Amino acid sequence: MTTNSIPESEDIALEHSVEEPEKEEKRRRRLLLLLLLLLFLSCFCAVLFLRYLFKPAPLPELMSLPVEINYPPHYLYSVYGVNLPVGAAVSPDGKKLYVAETGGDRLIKIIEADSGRLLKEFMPPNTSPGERSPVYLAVDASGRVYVTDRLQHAIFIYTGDGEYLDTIIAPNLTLSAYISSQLGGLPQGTKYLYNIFQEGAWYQPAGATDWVSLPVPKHDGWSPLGLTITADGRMLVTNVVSEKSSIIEFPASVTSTENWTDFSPTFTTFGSYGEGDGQFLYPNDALVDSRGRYYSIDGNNARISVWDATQKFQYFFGSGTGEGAVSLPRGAYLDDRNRLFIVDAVGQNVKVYGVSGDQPEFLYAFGDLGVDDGQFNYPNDVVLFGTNIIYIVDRENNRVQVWSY
Amino acid sequence: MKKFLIVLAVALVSALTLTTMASANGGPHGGFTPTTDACAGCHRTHTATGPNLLILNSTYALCTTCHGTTGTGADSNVIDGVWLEGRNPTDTTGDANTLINAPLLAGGFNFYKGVATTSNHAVQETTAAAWGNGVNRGLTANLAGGNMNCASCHDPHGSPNYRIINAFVNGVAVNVAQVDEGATKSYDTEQWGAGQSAVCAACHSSYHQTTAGSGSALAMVATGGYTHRVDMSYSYTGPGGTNVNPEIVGFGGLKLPLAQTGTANAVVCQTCHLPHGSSAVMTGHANSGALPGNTSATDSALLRLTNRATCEVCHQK
Repeated sequence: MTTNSIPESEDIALEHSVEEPEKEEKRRRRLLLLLLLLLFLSCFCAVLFLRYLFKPAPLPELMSLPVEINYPPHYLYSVYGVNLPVGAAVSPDGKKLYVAETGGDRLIKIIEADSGRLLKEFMPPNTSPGERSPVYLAVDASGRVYVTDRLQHAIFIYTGDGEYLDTIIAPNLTLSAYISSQLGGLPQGTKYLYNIFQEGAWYQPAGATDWVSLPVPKHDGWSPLGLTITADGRMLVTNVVSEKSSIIEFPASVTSTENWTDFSPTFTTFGSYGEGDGQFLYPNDALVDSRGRYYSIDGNNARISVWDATQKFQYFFGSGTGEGAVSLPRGAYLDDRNRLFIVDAVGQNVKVYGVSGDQPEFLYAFGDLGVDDGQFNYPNDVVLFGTNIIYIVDRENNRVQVWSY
Repeated sequence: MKKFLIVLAVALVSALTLTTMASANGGPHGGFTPTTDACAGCHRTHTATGPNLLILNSTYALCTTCHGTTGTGADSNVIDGVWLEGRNPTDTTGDANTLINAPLLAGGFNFYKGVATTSNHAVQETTAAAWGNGVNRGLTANLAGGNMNCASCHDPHGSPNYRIINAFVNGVAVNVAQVDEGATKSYDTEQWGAGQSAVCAACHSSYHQTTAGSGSALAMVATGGYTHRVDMSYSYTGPGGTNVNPEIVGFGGLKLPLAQTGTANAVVCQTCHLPHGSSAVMTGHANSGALPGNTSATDSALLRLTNRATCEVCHQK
């Protein structure tokens, strides 16, 4: 019996001829995918490169990925040329660093953030060094600078270039509003000055050369110290009036207005002077997290108190000893990642807490006592640009340290 | 070793107990509980870098972190010599001021009444010497307690003395009473208790002459020369006339504070001098570098008032 069978080699060849186009197609697809992937990566790198050209910053800053950074930052460099600095703020574009000094002539310095170069100095007009004490600063969305002054018992407002604009001389009164009320309106071009030591307010009509004095505006119960402007424009002020301290929350209209001539904000207050729950002694700052909770940095009680979004006291943390305890908390900053940075003035470091959960979590501390790079000597304030560049005001070392992740 | 540890533990407990018993003049200085965490604010048991187990070796920097110009932790701003906050008008005891930014009775180290100081006490560990320390009024001599800083005069742990002044200054016991000044007091004319001169005399001992006639008696020459008497009533009647009350009457709108002794208000060192620093201006004859303590052309020797207004407020020559 004979069988008509195809030889084995021919059989294989036939298989090949059937499968070849399929494999070829698969290979082509793979190659295409690879090319697309390479193209995508090239585009991504090009975008990163282009963005870096316009906004130089380390990679983590450029990536918008929700990366949890739970490790301490590292020291970059220091900005010198400041005399006993105590407070700092950064312009919205990150290009200008504002620093308040308590030594020398007690000026507010504008420093170019990238180079550390001094751009300008300014101060409350019509004051001598012994009549002013700028402490903490905040910048609103349009770049205007707000500075608390402990000796003047006021908040001075300047343009981003340090030109004087107005003064908040009581929770419900600005200098321009006061003069406007006295004159029955504020003609355009009128200049005005305020100095608590000279117990008066002055104005100069447009085109005039003489200044006219007005009776002393009422400023009782107003002694602003800590200052924060939230992302949505609200302004939080710690008011450290003797035995009547409170935190005052001003509405966003205060920082979004063109001028402050019609100043009658509806503000709320919470907290009180003391050592009990919901109380504080010399709160140096107040902040709000993404869930609307309020934090007071309670300097002399050595703790951080928390209120809920309705301003009802919840709890405090950071007291006592051990990891995460603060000794003398002063300036603070809460970034977009709900990381709470607190300067511990006698702890000689910055303590960082995660506050995205129900309870705060101590993450780490960085810095220690000394005069070398990365060491602190009575630091007093901290401010971030974005989530990566950290400025720490190092008072007794006469510098501002710059750290990064 | 075991004994040593026990002794050390007892010593620590005793120290804490004594600290707890110390009377505080207010604020965070004293009144500590047995489980206080306040110690760690300023001290480190094993990692201190300054004497007295201080965190840092600068007492001045530590104190001015709260008491500096920023007022970030206290109302008493010793740099500018002001009490930052007004007192409660319904409270007639304790605080000694009426207006915000009232001048501190002790003056300021850098500024006083808004003007830069022309003399101040060297409290930044810069000197160990004091004028009139010992027997010779014209020379400086080293202090027993080492260099001077804030803690040379004040006890941050609390003290029964006014303004937490140390119970012992430079090794000498002092007792400064605090007096309720009443509702109408102002910080410039505040009356404080007797004993203030003893604080100064703890270092400037040879200036502490309290006997009548020390300004003229020949016997004073043997002790270094004539000197103005202190710790006596302001009242003086002599050939030149009768002195006015410098605290109430004053002269030409200028006044000087007296110490309230209970029977008669007394002239003490601080009646004429500001212990922290003064911005008084010295010109002409009042500006003589040859005088003890007057070390430079602008040095006001801690005098409260310009030139010799401190003389005229009482004597009105």
